[in-house]
Amino acid sequence: MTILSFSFYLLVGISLVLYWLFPRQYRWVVLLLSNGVIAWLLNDRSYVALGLMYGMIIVAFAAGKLFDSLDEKKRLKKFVLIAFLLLEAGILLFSKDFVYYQNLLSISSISSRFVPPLGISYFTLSLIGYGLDCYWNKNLVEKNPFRFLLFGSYYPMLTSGPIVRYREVGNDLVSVHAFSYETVCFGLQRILWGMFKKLVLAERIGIIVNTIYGDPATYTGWFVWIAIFGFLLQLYADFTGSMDIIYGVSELYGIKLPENFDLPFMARNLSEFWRRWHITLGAWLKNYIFYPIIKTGAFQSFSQKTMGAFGKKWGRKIPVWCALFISWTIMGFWHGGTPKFLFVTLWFWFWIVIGEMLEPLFERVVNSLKIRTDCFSWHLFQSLRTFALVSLSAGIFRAESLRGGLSMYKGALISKQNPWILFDYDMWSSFGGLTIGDWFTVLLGLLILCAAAIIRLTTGRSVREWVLKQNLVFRWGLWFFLLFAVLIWGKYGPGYNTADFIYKGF
Amino acid sequence: MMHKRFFANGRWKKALGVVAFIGVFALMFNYATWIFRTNVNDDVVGLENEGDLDVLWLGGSVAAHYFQPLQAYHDYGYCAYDFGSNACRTDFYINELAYARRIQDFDLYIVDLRTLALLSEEVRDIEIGSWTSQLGVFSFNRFDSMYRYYSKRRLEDGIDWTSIVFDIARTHSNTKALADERQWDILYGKRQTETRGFETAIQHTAFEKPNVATTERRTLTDHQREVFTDLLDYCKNKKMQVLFIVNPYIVSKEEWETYNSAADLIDVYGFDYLNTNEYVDEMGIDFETDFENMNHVNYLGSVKFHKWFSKYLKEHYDLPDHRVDPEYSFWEDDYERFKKNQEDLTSQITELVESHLEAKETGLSLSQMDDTTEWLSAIKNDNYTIVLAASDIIDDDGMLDLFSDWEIQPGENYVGVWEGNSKIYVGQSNETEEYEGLFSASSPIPQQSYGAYAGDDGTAISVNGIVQDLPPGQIKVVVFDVNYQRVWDSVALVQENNRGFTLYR
Repeated sequence: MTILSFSFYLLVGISLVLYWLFPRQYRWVVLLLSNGVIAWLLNDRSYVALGLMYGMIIVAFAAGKLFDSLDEKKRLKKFVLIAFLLLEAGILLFSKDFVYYQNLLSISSISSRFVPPLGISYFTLSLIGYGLDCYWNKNLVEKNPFRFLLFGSYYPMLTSGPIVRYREVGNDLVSVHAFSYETVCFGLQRILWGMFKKLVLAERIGIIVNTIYGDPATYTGWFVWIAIFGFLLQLYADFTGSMDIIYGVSELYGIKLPENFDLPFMARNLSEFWRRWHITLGAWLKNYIFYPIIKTGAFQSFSQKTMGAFGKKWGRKIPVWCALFISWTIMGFWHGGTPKFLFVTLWFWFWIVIGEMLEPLFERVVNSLKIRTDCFSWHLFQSLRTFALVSLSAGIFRAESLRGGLSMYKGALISKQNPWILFDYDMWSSFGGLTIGDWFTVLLGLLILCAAAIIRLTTGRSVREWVLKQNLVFRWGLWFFLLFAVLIWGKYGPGYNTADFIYKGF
Repeated sequence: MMHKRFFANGRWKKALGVVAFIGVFALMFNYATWIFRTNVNDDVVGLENEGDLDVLWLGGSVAAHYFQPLQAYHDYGYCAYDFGSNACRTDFYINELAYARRIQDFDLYIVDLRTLALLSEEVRDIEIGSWTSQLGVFSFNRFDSMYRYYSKRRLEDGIDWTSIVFDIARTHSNTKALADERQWDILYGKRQTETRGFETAIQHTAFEKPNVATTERRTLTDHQREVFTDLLDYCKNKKMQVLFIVNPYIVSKEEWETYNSAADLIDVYGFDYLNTNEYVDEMGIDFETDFENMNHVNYLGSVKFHKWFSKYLKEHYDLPDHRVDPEYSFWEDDYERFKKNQEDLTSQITELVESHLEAKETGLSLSQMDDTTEWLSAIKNDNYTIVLAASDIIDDDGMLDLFSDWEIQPGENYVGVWEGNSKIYVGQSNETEEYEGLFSASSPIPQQSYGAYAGDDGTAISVNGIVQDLPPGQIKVVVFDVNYQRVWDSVALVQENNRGFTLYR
């Protein structure tokens, strides 16, 4: 069962009816029980995976309690923290990275039988965050294990996150929610929007991308650029689509989760991009890796030394770049720890650092060439530049391996250039099995995405709120259009092997 | 108190909005599903647009191929309808009857019993899909069909039952359906069959008459008994007049025994039973010329069957004669159109069968021929599948011109499969050439296999695993007749120096 399957929504429906019918103070109990059933089914009915997930949650709960009771015993508290981090992070790293290194080192298969629970990357970071907050006394420690179980296993978050902080979400999960027609409508609308992005748009773009990535010897030159730019669009539609479904399902229960995206393609530089893309992961790394590193005594003294050697301006930046390096490396390990993922994440680190280092030079060039920077065209240039840099990284992310990705880029740059393929309409009209109708659907889908972004930018509110202000015929027409677009043009049902969400694996 | 609050704060408007939204969605969903359903059978949905009828013939595809309602009206005056749904099984008969009876009551229900012998405990998409696609998207009868089907079968993992319930999930990818005018007709209730469900088969496969008549019984499986008893109970409860029938086909002894056991049950319930395979000689059915495939007669067979059976119905049942009723005159008009069309179809099927018989005569004479040129000329027939393998053939003085139709080149290894003039496969090079395939056969005849090989060490052709090989420099040819499912001849053409090819068997 996946969050795209009919049986999932059937279960959600049953769970919702019970949730809203139960007395307010017991609704969270319904949610907790629903979690158990749905999480078990999402984990392909694996009791081992479910048990491991609950085990990790219980460990985090116990750690929180221990931190609370060991406030006076600093050394023991630190020891418990290290043990807690080793255990939680160890299971995460084992499940995500061990297969790669096991194959690399030809170690006999231990992990082949190990099936990690769905969403381990997401709930583990949330649990570690909770533990650290308790350790730093930033959290009110949860006393009720069942309430904490609900936080750790909240099923909408198991597919692709978001990564949440207990103090932001924990209370909302168990607090009393009054039934709101608008909230439920908004939830359904958001699920529909997510389905549209995933089934209509991402799956279609995926066909182009998969065809090119599947045969790199044939598809060289401009094909590669089409694939990498296409993949970033696919990734966006896929990842944000899954998040929309997750937020939508959560909203049906009246629970709002922190947003993971904020129009990332509007970003003008990579730092801003990462403040708009996978926001909760970035925030987690900032809160639990970057800041703690910066605040360590070792880094403080390192900072003093670099300021002495390179002056105040650059001396302050060097420790920050080092801390960023560690953060991005950890992000690479979080994604899978293979050279490919490490390259992808450190690629961002490299360009962010280069950008900061060369910023004064860029400013001088811009000023001397009298380029206007307070206009749309400059902002567009910056956004396109960011898009291109992110695409180059995403191109490697999509490849089977770092070597495979680099060889594709080699194929793009060294092979004979073939711009005419852009105008070979006969080829594109049957490319990878796509028809003219499919291309039209992709184009229409992208236009709808752009329109939604423009509405958000110009009105400052969500598209759903904007739609709510429109007349009934328009509102219904729009939702019916999306409903039938998904029903008719969605890639689902027999004959389609709808790929899992790309970020489900992380 | 609660209702006052409900009306006072405008919640009723929202509730109304929700109901209206769901209603509009359901309506549009229903339309969309119908438009995408490409396997809607006019014989089934067309029943809704028919006037008063007397006889309903219910079953799978068999129900559409044997009995000609318009001819029966013309000859005897009763109004019948062939209510055949492709691949339908006895599981669905109760639902089929419920569907038909909702439209109107019939004096006589003829129920095809052959699908009882075909009942299987496996889940087959074609069985459930082809019947349920004829019914309303939200029809209770449809959901009941599904329940009836699935509840008696062991479900294996991976069955996508949701796409059966919401069948748009399996048809939506066929967006070409949107551009088909006929697909939209269903919305306007236009789907109808002019022949009252009868379908003409202009295909031919030759068979031998199965001599398997028996009085032995084969115990019905629990599954068959349960399904069939449910059906008999239903018919009894509804006080229907039912004739259970087995039509002529290439029946096996086991199936005949099953029908005998079913007949015993039918007798207990007091319904009629008729295995028309017992009367094929009386009908004049020729198994060599009158069948489309193992399970269905072609048009020639249907004419013979119909003539016998329509008379049988008139003689054994009290059916009205509407020919004197002016309200039924349109049946006669439809019959005139039907007759005109059938005359054309008769000449088509006659011509086809004659060509097949001619090919058979030629096929039988092939083994008597010794002259290579004559033999090669005779095997160029659209009814034959020719499998050839050649290796290291030298073309001296254009000797290979004889084989130009099959594109054999000198000095290369060659493997070719041809159906008449149509190339199925040709591979030739200096490397080893190999090809394996199946001879065409009308379903459900099991396809026979063949293989061809050509290499530096010689050639070989196999049929159903039996291999015949030759040394290099020779051509191996096998002639297979798809209508008779027989190899007429298998020869070696040996190249003699400057004297052409000599034919050996």
